[in-house]
Amino acid sequence: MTGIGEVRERLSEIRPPGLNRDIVAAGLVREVDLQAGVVTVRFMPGPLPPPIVDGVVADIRRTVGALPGIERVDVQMVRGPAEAEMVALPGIGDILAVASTKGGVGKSTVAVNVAAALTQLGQRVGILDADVYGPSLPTMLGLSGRPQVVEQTKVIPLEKYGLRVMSMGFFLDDTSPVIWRGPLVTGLLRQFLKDVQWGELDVLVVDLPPGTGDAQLTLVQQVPLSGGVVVTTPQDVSVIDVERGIAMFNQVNTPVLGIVENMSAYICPHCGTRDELFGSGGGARLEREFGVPLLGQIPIAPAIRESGDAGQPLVLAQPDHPASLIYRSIAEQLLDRMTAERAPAPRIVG
Amino acid sequence: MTERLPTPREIRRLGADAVRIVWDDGHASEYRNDYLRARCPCAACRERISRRLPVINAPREALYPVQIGVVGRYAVSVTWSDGHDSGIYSYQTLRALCPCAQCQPGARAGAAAS
Repeated sequence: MTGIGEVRERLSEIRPPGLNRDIVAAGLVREVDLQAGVVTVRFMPGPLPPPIVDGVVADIRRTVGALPGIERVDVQMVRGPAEAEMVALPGIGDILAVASTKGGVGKSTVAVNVAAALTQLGQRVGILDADVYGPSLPTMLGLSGRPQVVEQTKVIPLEKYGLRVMSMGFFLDDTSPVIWRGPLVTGLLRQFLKDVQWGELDVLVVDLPPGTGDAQLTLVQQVPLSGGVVVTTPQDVSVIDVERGIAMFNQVNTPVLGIVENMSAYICPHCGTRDELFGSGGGARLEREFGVPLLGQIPIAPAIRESGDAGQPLVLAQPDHPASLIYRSIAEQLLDRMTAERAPAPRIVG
Repeated sequence: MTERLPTPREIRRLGADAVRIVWDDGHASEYRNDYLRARCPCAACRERISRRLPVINAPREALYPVQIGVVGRYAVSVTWSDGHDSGIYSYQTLRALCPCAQCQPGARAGAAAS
C-alpha cells in the first residue's frame, strides 16, 4: 500500500522547466492528503505561467496516479502571492515628499507648516520626518517621548495638533550626533513606512533628508509618491541645487508639483519694508526654465522661527499671519495638483 | 519637463512567450521574454553584454518572468526563471525597448532577440 511519504517523493521528482528546484522544494505543494486511495494535492501555481502549470498538473496526476493503490488524484489550485509586491500603504491617499538638495533652506519648517495648513483644509495628515541626520520635527511640534510599540512591531505615531507624527528624533537622545550609514538609513525608512500604524490619512508628508542619496532613492523606489516639492532659497547657488532635486524626481517619474521659495524676502516687522536679502527671482527663473510652478514665496519673518522654536507651526499659532496665508495657498495648490497627477500603479496580470 | 512619461496601465505575462504592456497613452508593447531578458539593465548584465558574454542562463522555452513587481512609480523589477532578479526596468527603458515597427522603424518588429 502506498503511503503519503511515497506520494511526496513522487511530487519532489517534478521539476517544471524554468524552476531551479522541484515543486516541493520550491514550496508550491502546500498540502498533501491521502485518504482511502484518494490523493489530494493542494498546489500553488504561484510564479509558473499557465502552460507550465498545466504540464505540472498532468505530471502530478500521472506519477502519483501510477503508484499502487491510488485510485484518484485531485489537484486543487491555491492562489498565492504571484502578483506585484509593492510596498502598499493602505489607507494613505497621497504621499508628498518635501525635498531640498542642500541643508539650511528651511525644508522642515516648510514641510511642517504645509502639513499643518493641509489639516486646516480638512485633510487628515501625517508627517514623517525622514531627515534621519538632523530630525527637527520633534522641536518644531513640541513633541517628546517615545512612540508606543504594539504587537511587537507596530509603532503608533505621536499626535499633535491633529497631525500624526513620526520622527527618528523620538528615538534619539537629545544631544548625541547622528551618524548613519547608508544601509541603516534605508532600512530605517523602510521600517518607518511599513511598521508605523498611520491609520487612515489623506496625505502623508515626508520630510526628506537633504540631498539625493540612498534615503531619497529608497523612498521613491518603494512607495508610490504622488509628487515632490522642492524647497529653495532665492540665491543662484541654491537654485542650481534645486535643478538637481528636480532631476532626481524626474528620473524616477515622480512629478515635481512645485517649488517653494523660502526666505524670499525680509519684511521689517516695524515698518513693513520689504528687503530681498538673497536677491530675487530664483524660483521664478526655475519656473521659466523647467516649467515647474513656483507655489509660493515665503518671507523671512521672525514669527516663523519663533513659532517653530515654541513648538507650534506658524500657520496654527498665527493663522492670519501673511506667511500663514501663503502656506495655506501652497497647500491648496498641492492638493489640486496631487489629484490631477494621480496615476494608478500598473496592474500586473498573467 | 514635468510632463509625465507614459506609464504602463497593465503588464501581462504571456506565459513562456512574452510580456505585454498596455500603456496609459493607449500604446501596446509586446516583448519576447528572451528579448527583454537579454536587455536586462542591471550592472552585472550590462557588464556581461559589454564583454560579449551570454546573459541568459536558460533555454528560450524555459525563460519567463517568475515575478514582476512595481518599483515606486517609475519601474518594474523582474525575477526571471533563470534565477536572475536584479534588473529594474524603468518605464522609460521599457518604452524605448518597445519592439513594434512604430517605435523601432528600420528594425524588424520583435526581431532583435538574442
